[in-house]
Amino acid sequence: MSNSSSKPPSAEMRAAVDEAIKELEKLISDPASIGACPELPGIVLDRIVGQPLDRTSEEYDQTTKAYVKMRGEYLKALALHPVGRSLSLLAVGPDGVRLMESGHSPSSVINAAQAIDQPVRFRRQHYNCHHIIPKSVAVAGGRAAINHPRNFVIANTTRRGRDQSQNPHHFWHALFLHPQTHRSVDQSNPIYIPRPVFPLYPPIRDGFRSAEGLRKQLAALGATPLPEIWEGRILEFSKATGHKPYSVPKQFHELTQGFGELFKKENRDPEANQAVRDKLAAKAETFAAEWLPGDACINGKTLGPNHQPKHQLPVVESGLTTKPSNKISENRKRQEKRVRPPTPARRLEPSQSVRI
Amino acid sequence: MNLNEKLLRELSDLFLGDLRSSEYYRGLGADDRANLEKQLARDAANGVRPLVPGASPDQVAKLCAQCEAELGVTLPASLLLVLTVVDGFVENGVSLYGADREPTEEETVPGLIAQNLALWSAFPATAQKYLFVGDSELWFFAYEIPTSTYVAISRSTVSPVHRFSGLEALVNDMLAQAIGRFDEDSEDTSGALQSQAPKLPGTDFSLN
Repeated sequence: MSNSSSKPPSAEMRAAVDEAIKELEKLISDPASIGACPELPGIVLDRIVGQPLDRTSEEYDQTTKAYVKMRGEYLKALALHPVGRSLSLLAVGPDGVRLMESGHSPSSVINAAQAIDQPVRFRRQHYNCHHIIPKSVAVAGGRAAINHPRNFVIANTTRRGRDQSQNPHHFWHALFLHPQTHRSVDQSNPIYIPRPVFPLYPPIRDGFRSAEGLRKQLAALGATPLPEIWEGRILEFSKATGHKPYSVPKQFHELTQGFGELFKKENRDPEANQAVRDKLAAKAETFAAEWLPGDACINGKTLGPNHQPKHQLPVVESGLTTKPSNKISENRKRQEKRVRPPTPARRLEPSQSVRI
Repeated sequence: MNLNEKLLRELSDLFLGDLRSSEYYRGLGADDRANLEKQLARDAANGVRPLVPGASPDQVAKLCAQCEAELGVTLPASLLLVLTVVDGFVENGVSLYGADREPTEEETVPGLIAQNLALWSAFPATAQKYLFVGDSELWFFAYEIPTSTYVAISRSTVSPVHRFSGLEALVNDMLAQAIGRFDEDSEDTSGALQSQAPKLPGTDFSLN
């Protein structure tokens, strides 16, 4: 088997990553909007007009295959980009960046532990790369943009038992995307996509109370300083979370926990079971409506002009319906096997950051 | 078909490399590091793949009882057997769920019951129709209860896109995706949902 893990990303992919970073910079003008909705800091609703694709369509199939082929190269290119690298180090740490450099999803070891008479296991923080606009959505004139770094986010997907609080992607998908896209309709509708204003989410592992503290942490990580626009965003994000770890909204956890009672023995009667299931599905629908504007369509029904969402997320139109400047060729080689990453030479120094 | 032992060993080797190059490991004191290495060596001497162990018979029995009580699902024998060989893993965006831990214990892989409760609550139509056994960036992997077969489900549409010949084929495919190794014998496919399990032996559907 050939092994190109050490092969650098193509100029085409590096240009596409640069384009994605620049587009993110243009997405919002006021960093204060990052904390506008503290339940989802740094998230905007990207209004697109699209239509769910037939899952058996050739377009859907090609999009999936092309993504698998380009994903590893994208991770490498992001880790090499001057701004992307600094943002990656802040979000996933040196362990995670080392994996990205080899074309794999980032993770970082938290600890290794052994219960009595049990083998050693290790705990890690995990991040996955996901499409922002789902590949199951056809955007007018936007196919080339679906598999493009401007449409990717690396999101924390760590799960601890029934605790999904560190898994924002599950929240975005379950409460925003699925209700708007899973019932296919024959016409294009507005779809509101949760779009982070950072290429990695959450963007930080440490809280930062000042630009000086952020710069010291970046220096300790061996990263180049961030442009002012990114410094401002990081500081606003940290402020919005109270300099604590980001956690998905509490109400969403309660919804999940409520479902846990459904299948207990006392609820096994099929009619009772169906009734509870319907009730919970309606509850999820109501919850989604708390976040989405009136022209959004949930489970095939438009919320209506009089609908006012309870939570006010900034709404943007990112322009991903147009062709990207740096199109990624789809006839790429497959992602390839990872080689062991080299041990980093430098050890982190204490900084003024607040560990969260 | 059996689980691909070579891929399991490779995953174990990768995990050991990741652990030893991690900030955590380098931050351990000399004694703690030596103790950890001793424990890892003992696992290997006991025939356990370091950092990719199987579940103990007690853990499997407990998982069975909890699944019946909390999900109302009887776990298929094929899944129980695989869990004794590999009690879940997470690598490169690919997760095989394992036996759930006690709330007081540290969870190292996503627990089967916890994940199914979360996914069933997010996608109510899947409840008691699919028993989710793992996921990746593109797919969920599940046991389709009415047909007693294992399927890949699109994350976007939450509907099946591929049917595996068995759980071993599914897990071998997940291992290949996790390690980034895609030149093993393949199980087809065009990505289209097949009405019957394919007869071909193989490992991955995901990149054909």
